[in-house]
Amino acid sequence: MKNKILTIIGLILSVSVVYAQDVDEIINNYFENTGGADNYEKMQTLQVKAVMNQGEMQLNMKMIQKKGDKLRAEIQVQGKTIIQAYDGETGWFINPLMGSEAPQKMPPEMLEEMQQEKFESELLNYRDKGHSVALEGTEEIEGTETFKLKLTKNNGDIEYYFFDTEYFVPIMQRAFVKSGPAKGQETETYISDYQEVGEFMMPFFIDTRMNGQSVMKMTIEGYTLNEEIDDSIFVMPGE
Amino acid sequence: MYRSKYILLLLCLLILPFKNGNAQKKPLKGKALFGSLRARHIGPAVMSGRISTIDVVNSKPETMYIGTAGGGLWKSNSAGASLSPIFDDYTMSIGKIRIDQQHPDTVWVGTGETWVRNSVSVGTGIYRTTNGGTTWEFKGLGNSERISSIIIDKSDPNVIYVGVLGDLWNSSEDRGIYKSINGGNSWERIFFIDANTGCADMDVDPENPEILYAAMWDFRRQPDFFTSGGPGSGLYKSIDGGETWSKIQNGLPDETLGRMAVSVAPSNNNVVYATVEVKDKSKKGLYKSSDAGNNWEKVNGDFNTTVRPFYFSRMAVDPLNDSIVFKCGLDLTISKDGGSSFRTVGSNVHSDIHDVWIDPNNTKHIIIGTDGGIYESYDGGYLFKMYMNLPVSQFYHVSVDMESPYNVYGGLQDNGSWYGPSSSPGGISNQDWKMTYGGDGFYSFRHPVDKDIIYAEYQGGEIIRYNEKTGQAKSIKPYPEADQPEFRFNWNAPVHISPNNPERLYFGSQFLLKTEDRGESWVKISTDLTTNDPGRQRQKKSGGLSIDNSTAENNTTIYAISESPKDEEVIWVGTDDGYVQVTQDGGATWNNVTNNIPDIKSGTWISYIEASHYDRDVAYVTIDGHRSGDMNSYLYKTTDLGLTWQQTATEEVEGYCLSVREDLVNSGLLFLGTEFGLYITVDGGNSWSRFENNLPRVGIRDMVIHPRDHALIMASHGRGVIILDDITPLRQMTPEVTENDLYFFETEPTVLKDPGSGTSWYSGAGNFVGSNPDESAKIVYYMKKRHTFGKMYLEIYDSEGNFIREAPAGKSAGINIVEIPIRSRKPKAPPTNNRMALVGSLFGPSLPAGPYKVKLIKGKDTYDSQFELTYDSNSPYSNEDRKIQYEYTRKLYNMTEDLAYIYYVLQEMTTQAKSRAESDKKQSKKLLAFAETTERLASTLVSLSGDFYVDEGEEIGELISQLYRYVSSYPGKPSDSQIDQAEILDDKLDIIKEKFEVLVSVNLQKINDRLLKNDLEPISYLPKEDFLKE
Repeated sequence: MKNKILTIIGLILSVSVVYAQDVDEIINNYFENTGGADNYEKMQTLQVKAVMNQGEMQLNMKMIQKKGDKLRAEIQVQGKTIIQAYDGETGWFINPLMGSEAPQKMPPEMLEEMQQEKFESELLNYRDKGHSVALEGTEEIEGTETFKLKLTKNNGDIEYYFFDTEYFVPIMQRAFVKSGPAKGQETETYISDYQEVGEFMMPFFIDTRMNGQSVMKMTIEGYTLNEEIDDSIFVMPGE
Repeated sequence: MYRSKYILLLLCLLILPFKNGNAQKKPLKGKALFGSLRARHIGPAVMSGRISTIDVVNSKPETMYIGTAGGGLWKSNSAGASLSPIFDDYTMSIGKIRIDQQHPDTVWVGTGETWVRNSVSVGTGIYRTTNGGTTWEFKGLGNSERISSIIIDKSDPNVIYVGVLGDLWNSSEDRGIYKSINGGNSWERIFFIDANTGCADMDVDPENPEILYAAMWDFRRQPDFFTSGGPGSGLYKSIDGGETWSKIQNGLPDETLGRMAVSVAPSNNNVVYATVEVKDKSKKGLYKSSDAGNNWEKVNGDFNTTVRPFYFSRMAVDPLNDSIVFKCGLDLTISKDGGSSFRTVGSNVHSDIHDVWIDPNNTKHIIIGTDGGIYESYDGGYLFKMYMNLPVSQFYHVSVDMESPYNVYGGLQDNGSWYGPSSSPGGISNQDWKMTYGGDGFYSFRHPVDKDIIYAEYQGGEIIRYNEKTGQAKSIKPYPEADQPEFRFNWNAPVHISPNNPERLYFGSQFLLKTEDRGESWVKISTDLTTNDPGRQRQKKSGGLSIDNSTAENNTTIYAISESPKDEEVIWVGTDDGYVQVTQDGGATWNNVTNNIPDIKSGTWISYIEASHYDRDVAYVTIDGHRSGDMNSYLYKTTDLGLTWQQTATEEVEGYCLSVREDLVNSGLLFLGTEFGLYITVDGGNSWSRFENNLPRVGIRDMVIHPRDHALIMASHGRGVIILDDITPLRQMTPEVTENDLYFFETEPTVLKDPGSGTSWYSGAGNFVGSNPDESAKIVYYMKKRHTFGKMYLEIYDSEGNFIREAPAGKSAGINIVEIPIRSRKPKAPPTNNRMALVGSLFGPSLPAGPYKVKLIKGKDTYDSQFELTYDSNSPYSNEDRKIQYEYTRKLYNMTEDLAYIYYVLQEMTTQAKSRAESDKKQSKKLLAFAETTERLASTLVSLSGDFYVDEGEEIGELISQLYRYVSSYPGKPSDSQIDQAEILDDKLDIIKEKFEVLVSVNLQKINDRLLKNDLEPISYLPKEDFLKE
């Protein structure tokens, strides 16, 4: 009997907790709590310095992003620099470890993945982007209760975001490999170590897992926001 | 307003007392308990396992779905080069897969295998994906237990027909044929015969989707008997989308029918084939209709068209030719003349074929699913290649030895007895596994003392002793004495090695048998411990219309044996007809304690017994009622030698119970294997959690805890051997621990495994490789809440407090197992275009054995812990050797960094001199001359012209890095040549250093004076310390 009462009360409480939250409330809360939607919209450039940990290996990495989905990543390997960049249209890379310091165009699969990397969060003004978001109840992630949001992008791709029910920040994101032999496999990104960066709360630790196993742990050393960055660094040299 | 406040107050009153009461001993549950503790799968895939159904995208045959008996649903996008499980959150037993060939990303999966052998699992309804298996949606029919057929209306993919075979061990109103007209959102049962008769097969007219054929089957399995056939069986046809059904048996035998398969020729809708099971041997076999089922004629009665219909009732007609028929059976047979004659296909293909797919665009391309995996032919079924990467092996039992690394032993459904290592260089490959005996395998053990001896068995009590040295096996089957009753052995007869005496082996018939001379002679140490109920001894008549006396229905036998580790005179026995018996005097007298177990229907199968490691009076018993239709979880514990029993499985446990193990260190830690996975309690059974981290809902039939390595090794019936490598955190998990915000568990010292070479070769895709245990150093801690805000990371120090490096921390609530790097930071090296030099400098030197400190920084708090590294006691290197190795590694490390710094400074001097020269032409001559000097020296340090492959140069930088690589990666003493070379390079470096010193102290000084005089910025660079830190 005791159990039954508890269950009923639990049901009432959980119903009120879960369903009082609609999708927009969760998303708005998140943007408000972590910097404000306005500030996110106004953001022009973002630079990240990070250390990539893969088992024993540690590599320094710098990522530069600019509105218009421009992106450039530089990885330092013993005085050599691997560059991967995308100017909104053309994706290219330089990998001196592959025997050449000449820039090369990205193969289509890599380009496709790059094109999915949006500067602005897909959840920000998702309706305007033609996406839809649904709340699929709650799920426990790393022992924490989360709201499970399903983002269906305008191209049909699906991603899941798991928002801490207490603090309204995403602690995990689940996406699916779109092409190649691992097509359909899930990639999970665990997000933590949120800290203040100017007006924003930004994550300082990102653990990427495939099939539940960590493939890369990224420790972020710092963010630089809205610094002027010339478009030319995203463009393939010689283009 | 007032009222709602009042209600709130009332709620508070109600909640608070309970909440407080609960808060004190709130059990730790699920993911929050297990955190990052993760299971490891070692396969094997060498013998694979039973495939129940397959389907392939006709327009893209490299895309296939494979349904297994107990190992879930798998997919390949690459014609089998790579296979992945895509359904691990759901049921492991698959009945039928149907791809919507017009929208091939839509796939329907009906769960519950329909090849209803004694060991078959159960399903949970029907599921659908619309994105090629990335995500799944439950679509109902949750009580169907087994789905045999799914048909998608080709004119409207929202119209689905589903054949439900239904419950195996019960009658069920859920059987029959179901139809949905809205993509599975709702179902209507459109055909039902009776609660004993399900739909065994269904096919559709290739032209007209309203015309359906269905084979209905009356069947039932009991613990001791199987019945195929009955009044409900029949062959039916509907011409109106399932509204009405009529019997089409004109020409079929006019007698009780059994299991039938029915197939319409895709190229000719008048030609229909059916395999027919009847009692009369002259009438059973393959029938053909040339008028769409109106009239039938028997065309074949060969063995393969009649064999074991309950196990083999799938058939296919060639997509292009209505005379070519494929019959799944003990073998795959193919007829090219409409069934008149058949040839047996394939050499070296596992027997017991359950499904076949024929490529409509190349009918010589055939894929079959067998009891031993998937085979594929491109020559019309003459030669087949096996898929060697499908680890769906069905272990019944498992054991381990004390080798390093330990080996795992076990027997499998239709795949013999094998053993393989728990770890192997490069991963555990198919070749690492060795077969010790054939048949269906069950228990298998290495002799605890004599390493040449392995015990194994096959079905129905055939036990053997295999000598690995000679490669020969001796049958050590016991026989009854003269005029004594015949021995009755279970299909899976229990073999038990005494935990107290390595030479004592028990074997269970209806009597408990014991040998202490390795099976040369056996002693009967009990009376008949079963009910000896003749009503349950019907195996010779089992099968229904087709006698099927394979020993699978042997009953009234002993099924579980356990000798108390605390007292060798205390032996427990459990029987398949529901008795629990215990002796306290080594078998002289037995006490039947069955009736003391509450709430169990008499006669219910005893599936496992574990005598306690702590107390001779304590034992655990799992009881498995699924064979009589009771799917509940029963785990009973006694603390008084069976006088009283307590149900210890809570409602948190799902699935009938198959095995239980009590931890060897913490008596409150129990492991429970059910049909739906592994359950763990850390509080003696008050609360259970399913272990989900890389452990699907697969049946866990047996488990063993490795006494030295603290691993839990599981026999899964569908996903091979699964291992939890380190259960020590669970041993330390107490309610008190969970009250801490963060709590470090003790870890055993990490043995530094010396890196081997020659670990793998280019075998390409297509071979399964089981993962090795993670041998890295670890710290393990419990965290009450997940860490989301603020920094959290680790700092590692040596025992004297010298900082070594930082490392990422785990952030999860519950148990965090965090890998600690066992190498220090990589050296800062100058750039190079030489591959081996670069590889060499990417890794820091290994840390020497010894104690280390860890600081865990979490926001403003710091937590201290430690870990220890030890050398492998089996390794041949002396500490003196290791010391020399470490010394030279450090020396070369420092040389690398010295050179990196010199190179950096030279580069700075060169670029800055050149840029100053640009801005002041008057000084340019001197500056450029200086730059030339620095550049010249820099160019002698490293080689940057190469291609990282065959056009590589070597300067001193490359030579140092290469030598560093060799010396740092071999744990023993460097060779004399290496030592000499290190010294030579060091001398050369000294010369460079001297030149560099002169450059800096004389030349640069002059240049900088000149620059200052001319109001130019002097050339500057980072001090060495800062450069190395950068």
